[in-house]
Order: sequence, then structure tokens, then C-alpha cells
Amino acid sequence: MERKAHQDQIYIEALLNNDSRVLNKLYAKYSGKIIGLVTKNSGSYDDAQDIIQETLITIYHQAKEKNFILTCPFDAYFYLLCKRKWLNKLNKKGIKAVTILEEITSITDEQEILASETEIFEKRSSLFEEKLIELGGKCKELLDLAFKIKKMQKVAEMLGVTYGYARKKKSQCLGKLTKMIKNSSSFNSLTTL
Amino acid sequence: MKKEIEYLIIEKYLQKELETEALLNFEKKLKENVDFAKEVALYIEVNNTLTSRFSNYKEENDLRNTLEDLGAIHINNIEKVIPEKEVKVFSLMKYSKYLVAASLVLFASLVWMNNDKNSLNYNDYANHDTLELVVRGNNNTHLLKAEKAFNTQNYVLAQSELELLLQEDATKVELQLYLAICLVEQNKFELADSILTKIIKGNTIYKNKAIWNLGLSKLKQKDYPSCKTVLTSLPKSADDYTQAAKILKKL
Repeated sequence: MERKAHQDQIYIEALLNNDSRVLNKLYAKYSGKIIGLVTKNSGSYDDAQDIIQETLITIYHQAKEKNFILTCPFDAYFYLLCKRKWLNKLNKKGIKAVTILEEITSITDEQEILASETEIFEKRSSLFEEKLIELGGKCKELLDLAFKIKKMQKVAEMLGVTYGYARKKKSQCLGKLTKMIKNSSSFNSLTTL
Repeated sequence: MKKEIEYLIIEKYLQKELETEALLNFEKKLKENVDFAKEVALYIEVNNTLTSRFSNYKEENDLRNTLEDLGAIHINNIEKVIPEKEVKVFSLMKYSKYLVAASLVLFASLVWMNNDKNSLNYNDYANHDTLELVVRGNNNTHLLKAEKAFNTQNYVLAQSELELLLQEDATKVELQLYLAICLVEQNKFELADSILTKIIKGNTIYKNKAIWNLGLSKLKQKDYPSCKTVLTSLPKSADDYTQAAKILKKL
């Protein structure tokens, strides 16, 4: 079923197009609540800036790779994502989970679902990157080239092998990477919604 | 063996290179075999995600620069407004001169401490030694490229050349150290910190350099408590001890 975009989809488009005029509006409108959330819960202004930036980059990736459509207002969706990211960061630093002083009280189920989808997307992507590094060796070298250059004909030319050989090696290496991802302990908890 | 053949068929499907009959068989299997369908979906997802990450690196970097500028405008501006408000509160309490004096001293020291921390800038301390890998008679192009890229601050290229060199010999600690520096420069802290921690746990001549660079990484992350802990462990004999002491003084 095709999702109907909310009018705040303009912010997603602005991320895709690096439109600083619209992104400026986004910061003016929404950064205040995130600063409040972080600074009232053991964080600094720099922490808030990092959380906002990293969350926006995740949304950008999801839009770029999965054609993400925003079906609800940006406000609560963005707030939820930043809040979860900040809690994770606090946990990693060993700071015990705090009682978050909410800046937003009305969060709908749809916003919760969309935020969870983005969160899972981010964790899956990080797992893929992590396993690619773990793969290492000639396989990583070949896949790095294949991902960067895209066209396998060109990859084959660069490596001085035939197209058929390059394609076969890529399929074997990507197959190996897929297996490593599937066998990792966190993979099963990261199923898409 | 069977799996390898399947992956090749998936790759051919992905590249739209399956002949009509093979394509029909493939699509039939996709419909009937749930496990196979899941395998294909994951293979394509991994391919598309990583292709997008690698090929859109420049675009992502441009967006990051825009967001950093906007953050500096919107967030730093708010930060500067707050102390002014607090000063107004103090001015209302002038009838209680001792309390005012004490508060002002406290306030001034807090501002001084904050300014001191805020003046700590990673770039002021990250004066990396040049990378010198190439020796006479050695024509390894990756060595040449890694060295040139690192010494001209092209950390993205240096990272990928160092990774290729480490694939040839993963035990070279010097390469690991410089790879970690490239990662810190690109804000890829998690992997950088884990490489540096591993070097610190070992007993090589690069140990002190790894401590110093882990301290710099924590400084760049504005994780001041960790920065302090790491830099405190740097021995006096280390090359970077004086610089570390300057940071510790401000912390």
C-alpha cells in the first residue's frame, strides 16, 4: 500500500537536496525541544548538536536508500528519534537511565512506528558496515570497489580480470557477508517492521 | 557449493542478466520458497545499502557541513544567551552584598572553567607526525598513495589505502595507528577507539602514540572525563607529554 506523504515531507526532501534554506527552518523550529531534552538530562549543547545532526543523517540515509516517506508530523517523530539516540548514548557512557523530562507529550502510535522503523534501519545499516570491516581481506577489497564504482565491467577492468570472474567473485563475497550478517547475534532482533 | 551457485544467480538477477527461462524459474522459486526469498531480499538490501553509502560519500559530507553550520548558528547562539540571563538575576540581589560577592566569585569561576574547557579544540592539538612508509626500492603503490594522502590531510583516501595495506599484513601496528588517526579525523570514533585501545593493550613502540591519539579522540568527542583518564596514563617520557599536560590543565 502506498503511503501518503505528510506536508512535513519537505524536510525529508530538504535533506536529500541539501537545501539549507529549508533546513534552516527545521533547526529554527525543532532544535529547541531537542536542546531542552538533552541539557535537562545530563547533556551539553554540543551533545544536543551531535544528536540532532546524527539523527538527520540517519533520516537522510533512509530517504536515500529506502525512499522513506514521512506520513506524520515531523515534530514528534524527530523528537522520539533524538530521545532514543540520547538514551542509548547515556547507557553507553555508563550513565544510568534517567527519567526523561518530556518536552512533547502527544505522541501517536504512527509516530512511534515510524521512529522504530528508522531506528531499526539505522541499526541494520550499522551491522552491515561493521560486518564488511570484519570480512576484510581480498573480499572486502573487491566489494569496496564494487560498491564505489557500481559497474562490474569497470571493476573487472581495474582488477585485470574478466567480467564473468569479477561478477562471480562479487557474488561469493557478498554471499559470505550476507551469511556473517545473518549469523550475528543482533540480526534477529533487527527485523523490519 | 550449491550456495555459491545460488549467490551467482542472485547477482545475475540483481544485474538484470538472467535469460527469460532462468528468470521465470527464479521468480517462481521466489514465490514458493520463503527462505530463498529472504536470502535474496537480504542480499539485495546489503548490496543497495552499502553501494549507496560508498557512492554517496561526497553528498553525505556536503550535508554534514550544512548541518554543522546550522547547528553553530542555532545551537551556539542559544548557549551564549544563557549566561546573560543569569547575570541579570545577580544584579537583583545587590542588597545582600556578601551573597552577591560570593555568587559572583562562584559564577566567575564557573564561566572561567567553562571557557577553559570550551577553548579546548581538537584541531589545536592534532598535529600528526607525517607518515613515512616508503623506503628506497619499494614500489608498492598503496604505500605511496597512503603516505601522500595522509600527509596532505586526505584522510578518506588514506583510510582506504591503509585498509588495503593492512589486508596484506594485518599485524603492522604503525599502519593500524595511522588508520585510527584517519578515522578520528572523519569522526568515526567507535572503530578508531577500538583500534587504539588494542594498540595500548599491546607492548609496542606505538603504545604512547596510541594513548595520545585516544586522548585526542575523546577530546574531539567532547568526552572530557574519558579524555582526562586516558591522558593521565601517558608517561612523562612520551613525546606528547607536554601537550597532554596542557590539555589536562584545562580539564
